[in-house]
Formats: sequence, C-alpha cells, structure tokens
Amino acid sequence: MDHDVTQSPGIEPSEPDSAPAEEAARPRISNEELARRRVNRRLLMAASAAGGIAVTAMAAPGLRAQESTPEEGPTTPEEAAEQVATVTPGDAEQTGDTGQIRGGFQFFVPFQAAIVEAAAARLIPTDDLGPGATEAGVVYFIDRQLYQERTGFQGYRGQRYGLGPFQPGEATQGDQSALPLSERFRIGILGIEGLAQERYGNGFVRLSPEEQDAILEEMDSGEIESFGRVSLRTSPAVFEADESTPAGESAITAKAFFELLLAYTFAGFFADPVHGGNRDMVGWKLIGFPGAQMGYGDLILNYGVPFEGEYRSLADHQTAMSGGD
Amino acid sequence: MAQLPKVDVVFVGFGLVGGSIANELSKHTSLQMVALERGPFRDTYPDFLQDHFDEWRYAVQSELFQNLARNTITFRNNADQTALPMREYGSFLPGDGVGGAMVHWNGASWRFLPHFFEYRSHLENRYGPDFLPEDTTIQDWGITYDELEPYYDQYEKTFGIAGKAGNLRGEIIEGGNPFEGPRSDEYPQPPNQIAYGPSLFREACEEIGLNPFPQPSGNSPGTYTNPDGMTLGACNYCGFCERFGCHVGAKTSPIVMTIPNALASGRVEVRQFSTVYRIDHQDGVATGVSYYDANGMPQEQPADLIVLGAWTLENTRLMLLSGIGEPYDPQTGSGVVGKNYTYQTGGAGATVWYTDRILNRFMGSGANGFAIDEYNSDNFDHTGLGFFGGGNIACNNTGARPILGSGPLPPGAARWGSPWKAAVKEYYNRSVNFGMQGESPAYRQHFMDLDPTYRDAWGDPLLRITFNWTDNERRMVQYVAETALARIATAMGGQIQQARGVITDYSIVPYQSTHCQGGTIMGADPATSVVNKYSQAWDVPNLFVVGASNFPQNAGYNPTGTVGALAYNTADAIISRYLDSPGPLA
Ligand SMILES: Cc1cc2nc3c(=O)[nH]c(=O)nc-3n(C[C@H](O)[C@H](O)[C@H](O)COP(=O)(O)OP(=O)(O)OC[C@H]3O[C@@H](n4cnc5c(N)ncnc54)[C@H](O)[C@@H]3O)c2cc1C
Repeated sequence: MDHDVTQSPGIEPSEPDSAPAEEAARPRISNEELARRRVNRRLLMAASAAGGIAVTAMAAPGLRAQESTPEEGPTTPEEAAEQVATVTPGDAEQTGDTGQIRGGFQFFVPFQAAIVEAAAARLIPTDDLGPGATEAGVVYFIDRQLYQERTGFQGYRGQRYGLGPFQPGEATQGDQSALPLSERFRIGILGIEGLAQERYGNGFVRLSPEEQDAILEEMDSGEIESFGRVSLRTSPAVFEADESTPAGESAITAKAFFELLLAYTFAGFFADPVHGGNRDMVGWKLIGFPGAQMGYGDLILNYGVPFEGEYRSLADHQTAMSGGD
Repeated sequence: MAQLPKVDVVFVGFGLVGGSIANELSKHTSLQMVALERGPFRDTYPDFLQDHFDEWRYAVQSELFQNLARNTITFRNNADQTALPMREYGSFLPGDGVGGAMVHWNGASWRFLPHFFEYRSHLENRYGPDFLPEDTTIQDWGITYDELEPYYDQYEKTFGIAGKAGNLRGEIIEGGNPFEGPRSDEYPQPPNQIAYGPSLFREACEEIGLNPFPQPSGNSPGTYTNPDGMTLGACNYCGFCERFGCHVGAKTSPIVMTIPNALASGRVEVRQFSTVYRIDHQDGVATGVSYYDANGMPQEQPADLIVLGAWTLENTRLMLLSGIGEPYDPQTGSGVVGKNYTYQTGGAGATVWYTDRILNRFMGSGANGFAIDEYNSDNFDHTGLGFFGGGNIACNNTGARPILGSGPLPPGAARWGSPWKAAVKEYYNRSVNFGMQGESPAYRQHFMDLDPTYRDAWGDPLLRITFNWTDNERRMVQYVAETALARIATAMGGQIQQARGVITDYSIVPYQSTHCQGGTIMGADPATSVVNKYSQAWDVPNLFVVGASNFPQNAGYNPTGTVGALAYNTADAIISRYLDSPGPLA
C-alpha cells in the first residue's frame, strides 16, 4: 500500500484527472490503475463509514474513478482501444476475465454496464429454460433509454414533470425524485458495487450468482437504509459517506433502485427489439407472445389451439408496410 | 397579443366532445368554426398502420398522452397533506391530440342505468333519508335517462357500437343486459367474436344463475358505415387497443367517425399544438379564448360561442383559471367549480389460472368479453350492507402485451430470477382476469382546486386533486369480491383462483383507469351545479362545458358512452334552440 496516495481522505489528491507528482515518480503504476484502486477503496470506505451500506456517489463530471476500471492499465493504444470494448470492473486477477461485455454503449461506461448486465442476469437468468437478460441485450436497451433521457428528460412513463419544489411525500403520491433517471442509475450502480465490496470485499461482477442474488434480495427487501447518498466531503475526488447526511438526502433508496432496475430489465426483455433489447425476440419466445401480428381474425375463436404463426417484430412489420417485403 | 379574426364557434380541445358537436354543427348550420387542440393530428394511415405495435413507446413511454413535463396535476389524499405533482404516469392517462383519448381507448361503451340519473332521490326513497353517509354529496343530474336516451342512440349509431340489447322499448331481451334502461333501438352492430377466457367467465356466470351479456364495444366486429357515411374497418383482434391507436381504423373514435366529416364541410379549421389558457369573458358573456399557438406565441381567438371539451381536468382548471363560476370551498360547502371529483373504484378483481389449457390471451381487443350487472349500483338490495353502490363486473380479453401484461402470476410466485422465469413461462398464457368497475360516490372532502405552489410550463397553477376511498367503497369492494368474484372464480374451475377485495388509500401510482369525473357538474340548481342540463354554464350562457366533468358522481361503468350522449344532447340544444335565441336554455 506504500504507493497508495489515497490512504487518508485528507490527503487525497483533488484533481482526479492529473497524476500527482509522487505518482509520476512510480512509472509502473498507471493512472488507470490508481483510479481503479481509488474507486474500490472509496466504495469500501463509504460502506463502512456509514456502518452500513451508504455509498456516496457524485455527479461531478470527469471523475475517472467512476469511469474506468480495467485491471491492468493498457500499455499500447491498441490494447487501450480493446479494453474500451471489454473492460471489466473489479479485480480480474482474482477471478479471471469474467464479466466481460461487448462495448457499444451510448450512456454507460463499461464499468457501469458490466454491473447492470450482471444484475440483470440474476433478475432474468440464463438457465435451462433458455436465454435470459444477457442474451436479450437488456443492458443495451437500458443504456439507450438513459442516453435518450439526456435529451428529453423522459421517465419510465414518458415525459416527466421536472419542476420544483421537490419534497418527499406519501407513497400514494408517487415518485418525487429530483434526479433524472440516468443519474439515479449512476448512483444506484455505485450503490450495488458498494454493497458488494462491503459484504464480500469484491466487485459485484466478481461475485458468485448466489452472492449476487443475496445482494439483490437485500435491496429488494427494503431493509437497507442508506444507499446512494450524494454528499461529498473535502473535494470531489473524495468518495466517502458523510455520516451527517440526513436520511432525506438519500438520492435513491436501495429498494427504489431495485424496482427501477427490475422494471427496466423486464422492459428490455419484453420490449420490441427495435429498442435494443429482446434480441431475436427471446423474451417473447419464452412466454409465447407472437409480437407485431397484423391480427388474428377468426383464430380468436379457436379456443385453446396454439398459435402457429411466426414471431414478428416491429422491424418486420415496418418492412412489410414500406413495401419492401 | 395578436387578436385573430372572430369566428362563430371555437372548440377548446378536439376529442369526443369537440368532434361530435363540430360535426353536428357542420351538418346543420353554416357556422364558421375553429378547433384549438393542444396535441398533434395522427391518423390511421400512416401513423398507426405503420407503427402501432410498440408497447414500450405507446403503452409505457406514453407517446399519445398529455406531456407531463408541461402540465400535470398535484395530488393528495386529504386536505391535511401537501399536494405533490404527479411527475410520472400514473393512475390515469389524459389524451393529447386531435381525436382525444378515444384514439387510444379500449372501447367499453356503456349507458348508465336510469335510476343513476336521480341517484340521491332514488336511494332516499328506497332506504330512507338517513341511509346515505353524512359526508356524501351525490346528487341528481337534472336530466333523466329518458331525456338522454335519443342521444345515447345517436352516439351509438355515429360510432358503430357493437352489443346486444337487453331492454328494447321496455321488453326484456334474452342475451342482453336485463338491467339496462329501455333502448329505442338495438345496437347498430352485433357483438364481437369473443376470446376464450371471457367465454369461460360467461359459462361460470350462467352456471351460478347470473345473466352474462356481451360487453358493449367500440371495436368493430365488421365494416360499418354510419349515418354520415363514415366507415369503420373490421377488427382483427390484434390485441393492441388500450394506449394505442388502431392500425386498421376498426376502433371507433373521432378521427375515424366524426372529425373527417366535420372537416369535409370546409367550415371547420383545426389548429394543432394550440393550448388554451383562458376563456375570456366580460359581464357574463364569453368573448373568446386565449391560447399559445404552435410557436408558443399567445393568441386571442374571439368567438360568439365557446365549447369547452378539454376533458375533466382541463375543463375544471380552465374554469378556475378564467374565474368563471364560484370555486368550491370544502369548508363551507359553498361554491361549485371543482366540486364532486370522483373516480372509478377498482380493487375488486379476480384471476383464475388453468394449467390444463392455453388461452391465447394476446388475441383480443379493448372491449372483448362478457359482463354482468347484478352487483351494479342499486341493482341489488343494500339493506343492512353498510354501503351503497356497486359496479359492473366484466371479463375482457384486451390483449396481453408482455411488458405490462406478462402477469398476473399465481399468489406466491417469485418476482425475479429463475423461479419467476419458470412461472411466467408457465402462466403467461393461462390466466383469466375479471373484476368490478366500481362506482365512485361524491363526498364533501373530495374536490379540485388550483394548486398554491406548482405551476405549468407557462406559469399557471396546476390543478390540485384531493381524493381518497372512504369506508363506503372499502365495504363495497370487499362485499363484491366475496359475494360475486370469489363465487364466479370457483365456478370457473381452473387450478388456482384468487379474488382480491381490499382497498386502503387511493394511490396516484398504479394505472387504474382514465375515468376522472366532476368539477363542472350538471344539475337543476345553479347553487349546486356549474352547468344546466344542456351543459351550458349557468353564469356564461354562450359557454358550453361538456364531458365527464358534468357527472355529479361516477357510475359503475366506463364513462364514454355517457359523455357521447351529453355531447349530442348539447349539439341538439345548440342547433334546435340556442341559435334561434342565444341565452340561457334552462
Ligand atoms: C388508455 C385509455 C383507455 C380508455 N378506455 C375507455 C373505455 O374502454 N371505455 C370508456 O368509456 N372510456 C375509456 N377511456 C376514456 C375515454 O377516452 C374518455 O372518456 C373520452 O375520450 C372523453 O372524451 P372528451 O371529449 O371529454 O375528452 P378527450 O377525448 O380526452 O378530448 C379532450 C381533448 O382536449 C385537449 N385539450 C385538453 N386541454 C386543452 C387545452 N388547454 N387546450 C387545447 N386542447 C386541450 C386534449 O388534448 C384532448 O385531445 C379510456 C381512456 C384512456 C386514456
């Protein structure tokens, strides 16, 4: 740990994008490596500082710790380019190269995408009943929705009323979050990661399926109180829970983020493939929903007789409608 | 602000109400009309034919509904709470665009029961003056079923409603609803081909001595041409009705049946993306309306006659913003605008799961099923039950789109993981759902007013809704679930049955129905109503405020058939009486 300049929050370098002088004197450790160690350590500290699961996240742009996590810093541009496409959060040395995902994200950085994909894969697993969230490409669906939100402030149910004042209300009054969905996802993803570090000392994507399930169950149970706080202390690079943060400042609860993730995972599994998920209509094939059929006509009276037609997507329909089929 | 050239009539909102009245005026008068509609025009072709099968876009991301980023409502359960904005949908889905919410409705098309129009009188006569809860403000409508009947008929023929009469001119007809009021004529179209699930419901109802009848439907069983020569296509049961436009023009709506005919007259101009924010008036006379045009610029449109058909919430808000009529005060009970907000009492539902057969739940249409009326309104004796009211019970196969409709799964099923996957694979296509559309009585403490804090995108106050269920509805729901739903579910067989009958507080969060009523209620007395029986504003005779905002309380049915009847009632009053001598009609 002698090279770890983040040993104490008080001496944390405040400029995350430029390597401090000490670091420059140790050429064997890349900036990316430092950044990676920083995020894990901070998440861990955050979790323990609140005596529970509080993870502070932040909206400051350019915080490398949030964005990059390759185990080994790339040494050549080619390697760097490749890693952009296959980066893996957590410590690859410990468990090999699991958690790799294909790149192509508009909103997520791969660190975030890998966690979302791993969590979605537990919500809808790949199992003996067939493909799950991974094959459906759920993470690409979610990524696209969050990116689109940046231009339209769309919520899960359409254009969202975003004017203040903001205040928490009764459950019957509905979601009152002041944060856009994409920021809730950013914070929630770090919440999951912090929980993984706190419970198992490892990144979420590195955990066994049983351990991942345990974390999701804990979130689902609603018992975790502090999760996804937003306070920062001393400098934007210090990624630590502030115990004085009032409960009401929690940006998103573990339960709320679980519900969001579940809703989006289902949507990415069942929405028409045109939106980036439900690839090859695997979600529909699981349950037998035939998709964009022009209609069923008299078949409606064939009580109990299975529908034999081909599965049909919106793309198929649009092609037919435009005269190209 | 630009003052535009004056026109004879201006319509605020161009949905069922606006389209129907404009169409009648275009046929019977030579008036020049302008319709101001805040949303866009979308048509069967190309919009819906080429795209509508997109559950994410239309059903979840709310493509066709009011843009909440610009205007929403605030909500609280009672006056002690701070109302907060409905930031996301939500309990109901207000329409937005030419044709209004029928463009994306289901199509369940009802007439209300005769006694419901004189509800307070009826209940007090039958059960005595002390029967009703002290805080209920239900009242008679000031119009009777018999007076409205010709307009129900006109609405049904114009829109090609499909069904089976149960009471033709007083004669009870087998196969129809024996409780309905006398009809002057049969439905213009026979019932739909009905899916498997509802047919099991029907058999079970018959087995236990109830009288199931086909759900009256705006999904056209065949091609149908209405008296104006407008044609509905034949429904092919694709299963994408609710929240979607129809790809083959088979779901009846103003964009298929009334608005094109009105436009063909050449005397109706529709301005899209035009949001009305005031009804201008002086000395008891409306002079026109102010609106923001498609470029966001304020415009003033003078007119001799104004028809406000912007649906319940905007009808009420525009009256309050414009200072027409006295706002309702729940403390004193005085004032009328915003009074008697009601909804539709859900919560009584049942599901039966069959492991021995599949049901093809994805084949269907918005109103494809059977219903019973034994437990509706005062069709059953309420003596000693501890509540009044009831609801229609229906089983419809509306199409099971998978994002929102992969369930319900049997009680105890996992919500995620491999066990969920196994359950959804097993049960997606094996469940039949049915339930009650419960009546929603009016109460002194349930109302709408202007929110003191939250504003729309232009800076005007949002509408604030204060509403909850009361013990009356809680008992009603429980009673119907126990006495009717559980019994029917048992008779349906199946391997698993569940009946649900507990409601606590009304919540704005889950979708329930777009059935919001009240706020500009009708009546015989200006002290207790906003409009007379022609939906004419008591205070401003050249202003007609029409829609479910006129209902003094809501029945145990979907509202649109009655909204249609009220619109034709108004159209006739304008054409045959008002234009000859403009002024108060009652
Ligand atoms: C998903 C869904 C399913 C439904 N299913 C059924 C059903 O099965 N059976 C049933 O009976 N009913 C159903 N309804 C309700 C039905 O659609 C309405 O009762 C009906 O459309 C009401 O007609 P209206 O003319 O009063 O209002 P609308 O048809 O909503 O028309 C009002 C119009 O006014 C416009 N407007 C509002 N404010 C302004 C403003 N300030 N300036 C300019 N324009 C404005 C709106 O954009 C809208 O186009 C359903 C509704 C929804 C949303």
